Amino acid sequence: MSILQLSLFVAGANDEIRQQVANLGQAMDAEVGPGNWTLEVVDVLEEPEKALQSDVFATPTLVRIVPLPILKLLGGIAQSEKILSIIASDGKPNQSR
Amino acid sequence: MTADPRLQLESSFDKGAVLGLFSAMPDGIVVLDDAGVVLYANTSAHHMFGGRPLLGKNLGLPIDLGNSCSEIESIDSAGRIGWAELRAVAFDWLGQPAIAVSLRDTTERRALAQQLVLAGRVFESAREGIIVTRPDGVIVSVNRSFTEITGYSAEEALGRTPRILKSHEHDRAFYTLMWKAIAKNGFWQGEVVNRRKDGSLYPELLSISRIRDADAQVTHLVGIFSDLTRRKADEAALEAAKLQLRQSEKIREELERREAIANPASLSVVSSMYSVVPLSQSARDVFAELVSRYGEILALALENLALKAENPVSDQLRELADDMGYLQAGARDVAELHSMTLANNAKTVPPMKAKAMIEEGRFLVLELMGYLVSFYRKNYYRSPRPLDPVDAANSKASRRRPKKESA
Repeated sequence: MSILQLSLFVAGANDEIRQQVANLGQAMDAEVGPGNWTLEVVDVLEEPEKALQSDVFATPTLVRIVPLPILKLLGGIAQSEKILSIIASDGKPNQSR
Repeated sequence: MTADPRLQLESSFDKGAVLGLFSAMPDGIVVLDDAGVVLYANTSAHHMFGGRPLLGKNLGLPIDLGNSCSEIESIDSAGRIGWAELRAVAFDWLGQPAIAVSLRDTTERRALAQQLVLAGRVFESAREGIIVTRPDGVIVSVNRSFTEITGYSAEEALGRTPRILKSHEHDRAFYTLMWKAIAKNGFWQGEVVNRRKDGSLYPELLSISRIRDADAQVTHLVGIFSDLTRRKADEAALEAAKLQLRQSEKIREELERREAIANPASLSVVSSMYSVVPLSQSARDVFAELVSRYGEILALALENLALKAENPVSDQLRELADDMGYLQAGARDVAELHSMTLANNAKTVPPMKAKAMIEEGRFLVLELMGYLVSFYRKNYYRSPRPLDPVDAANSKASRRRPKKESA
């Protein structure tokens, strides 16, 4: 099984965002297990070029790089359960959400 | 990407009124497929993303669908950030499941809100007291410093007029002139004596200005004042210090004059301890260097006092005393060094600091004198003074005692 590889693009890392990232990490540990995922946080205020290179148009955007297909989720990263249910699925999110 | 047949469908909509309507909307409208790929974006949406091509790009799936609204930051083609409120709903786009996204640009609103927050912080953190009144004089806002200076809390001041501060120290004509100036120039500044809540009087420097709205109507008056009590006290203390300095210089001159009379051969009582001619005259450059070193030590001592620093003031003083000892300096040289340094300071440093230096200097000069005496006690030799003290100064380094020596 390949490691779940995620990038989170944010504009400025404040305490709220740090807390949300921590929650997301905990949820991921519970769902896919520690060591089976990576999460890179990109602050677009610091590195705007990374957002342009990755075709990220807004923040917060969570990008699932691996496994393919690339999946992008926009906004609301506080809802880690909802996010997990989407990224853990194989590709397209189900429309019942 | 343009090969996607669904993108071609847009052209069939061009004729429709719906897209025309969208393009006129100030909010950004974007249609996404169920993977987040942009099928349609109106003019405002393109504008919000700084002209970045959107069609066929994956904008991302909005996590929140329905009526809830989330805050996002948009990134334009130059990497600049804007703010927007995002609302997304699932709907059918040409028979396929799709997501309609509306984006409301909040960048300007946000900047205004931040400006308001900043203005509020400036208002509250100003050291000056600030009173804002309506044109009829009723107080609508005061800041923290107002309360600190006057003793009236905001609750006590709001709804009343600045007359609560009136001291009756000024006559009616004073206020008439003040209001006339405000009516004529929109501005007045001057010193006013006001009364605190506890009844005590205090001098303040007061500026009053009018605030007008876009139609040039006066909406408010703003009074900004600083308490002059401290400054007045500081000024008095500085004057006293200057007077003291002048007096001590007079005493020194008088002493010298008397010595000159008593010892016509210019061998003065004090300076004959070790020196014949004051260092300030016999070795001007060396003396100037001593003055500057002593000034630095004084500044360090002050820093210790004010900032709880731990500069090795005593070590440096002892070193200075040793160097002066090698130059065979006497008590008069120390006195002269001290008064010249203070006189220099009075010209160059702020008044409060100069005053503090004078006070701290009293201890410093005593300490220096003590070290000089102990230098002579240790290295007592009554060799004739070198003919040229500059030589002595130049060779002093070789004779300087090792730095490590217990105090």
